[in-house]
Amino acid sequence: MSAQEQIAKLEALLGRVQARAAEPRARVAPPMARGAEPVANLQAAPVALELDEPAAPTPAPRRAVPANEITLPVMGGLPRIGGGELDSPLPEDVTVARRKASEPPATMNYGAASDSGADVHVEAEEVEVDIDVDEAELGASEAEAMASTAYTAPPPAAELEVVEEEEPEQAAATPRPANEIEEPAPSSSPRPIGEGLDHEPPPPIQTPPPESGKQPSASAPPRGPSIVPPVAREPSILPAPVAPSEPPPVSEPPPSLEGHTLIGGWREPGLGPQGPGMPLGVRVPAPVGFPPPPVSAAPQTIGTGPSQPSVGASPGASGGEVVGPKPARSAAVAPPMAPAVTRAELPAAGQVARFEGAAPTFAPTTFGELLDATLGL
Amino acid sequence: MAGPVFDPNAAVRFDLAKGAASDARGGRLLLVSASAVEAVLLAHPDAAIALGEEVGRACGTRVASRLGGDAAVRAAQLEVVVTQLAGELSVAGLGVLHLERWGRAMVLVVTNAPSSKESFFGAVLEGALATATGRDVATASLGREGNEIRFFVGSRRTADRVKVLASQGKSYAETLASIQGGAS
Repeated sequence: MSAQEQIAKLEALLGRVQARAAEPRARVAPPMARGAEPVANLQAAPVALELDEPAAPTPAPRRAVPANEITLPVMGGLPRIGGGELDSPLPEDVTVARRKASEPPATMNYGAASDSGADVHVEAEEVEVDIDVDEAELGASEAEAMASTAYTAPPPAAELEVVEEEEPEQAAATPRPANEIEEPAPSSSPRPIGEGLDHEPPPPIQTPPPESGKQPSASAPPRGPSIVPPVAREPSILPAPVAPSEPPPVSEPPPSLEGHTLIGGWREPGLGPQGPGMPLGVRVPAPVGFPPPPVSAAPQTIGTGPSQPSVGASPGASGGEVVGPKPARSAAVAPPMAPAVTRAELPAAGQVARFEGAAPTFAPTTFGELLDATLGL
Repeated sequence: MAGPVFDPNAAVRFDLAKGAASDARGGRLLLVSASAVEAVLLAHPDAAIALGEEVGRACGTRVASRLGGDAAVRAAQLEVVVTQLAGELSVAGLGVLHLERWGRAMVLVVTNAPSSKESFFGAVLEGALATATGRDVATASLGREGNEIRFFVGSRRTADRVKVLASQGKSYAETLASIQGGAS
């Protein structure tokens, strides 16, 4: 495929995008499962397109060139080029750079030849561009550019494919932008899209790719056995430093239990991976009037092995013995108090006094002795 | 030496022909009424005391004659001397005499005395004891209890203390205890 043909396809693609953006939104996208995720962790990389030639917005086939693919995640809003017309043709070099959340938002500049001349601020989750380029057609400099994080658009003959991978969660609450790409119903679909929305089954679980490093939202409604614990992707449990502004990871314990019981618990960072049979934690409301658990009450872990007695667990619940004095059931049942009497054993009689000598006694035998005694007074 | 039994036979002899009364030894006796003595005591207390001392010396002389002298009286047993003295006072009509020993103090008790005047009876006792024993003794009244009059027998100085204590209202027991100083 020559370069002209590729440029023509790109122009056709842009035209179709503009046409879709100009159309009013027919339906609201179903709510996404990731309600707790931030709006945009990743934003689209700046794409600088300089259009030198005006291109007519002609619809292009979806899969014209299967040789090369460009995978673009659905962004919050595709750039709406003013007037829907391109004053300048697409250049051959289309630079798609990947940026991270910490970088400033992406900006697409379409050059001064644009009708409106305004800068379009684009925020998106992620932009992945897979380009399959014939090695023979690429130069050495282009191959080096592909090795880096910034990619240079391949020459024509590359096939572009837009794959809707992830939507920001705010799409459920806010109306979708007008430039949203609405996928046509596939030919294999038994039901046409747009019919029976009320009876439509819940949308499939949209989980981020493993390499994205994201966790499925904990606030997703339970869908029975379809919920599979993210065994392979648990970057949140890694002891990575977390910025203060970032929300707590999913595996972090709740800041305050507030009387709730966390079943399923959480796992300390740094521990080994859990088994596949590990169920997800489900937070259930505490019963009415139930006091909040003690501070040391850690979330219980179900299915991880034999339960270990916790510090704050009551002995009765764990079946342990109560060591110590048992409380009296009632005062009426309590036996009356009886003192312990210790009596001394004393002999019945004893010689406690010993007399030495004899008191002078007066026992006169004659009348003269008594008379002398009384005269002696 | 005479026994403790007093023999009153021939103690008083009345000679009706001569109109004389005499003792066993032939000494003259005068039968005087009690009221007469009372009158003397009221009119002349000191004369009544002298009368009483003379009555008592007569009794003591007879005891000493029976017992063999004053030394024999001092050497005689208490019961013998008390019996001879009591016999002599009874024949004279002066009441019944017995002896109490309160420690080292000698107390003579006169029962059924013919007069209420204690001083007269004290003088009789002093005369009898002094004559019978040959010692200078004094008596002091300890008080009257019913029909009994108690007399302390001792030296003159001690008899004077007892009179003072008795006049202060003390009982005879307290008085006897105080004069002995705790001696039994």
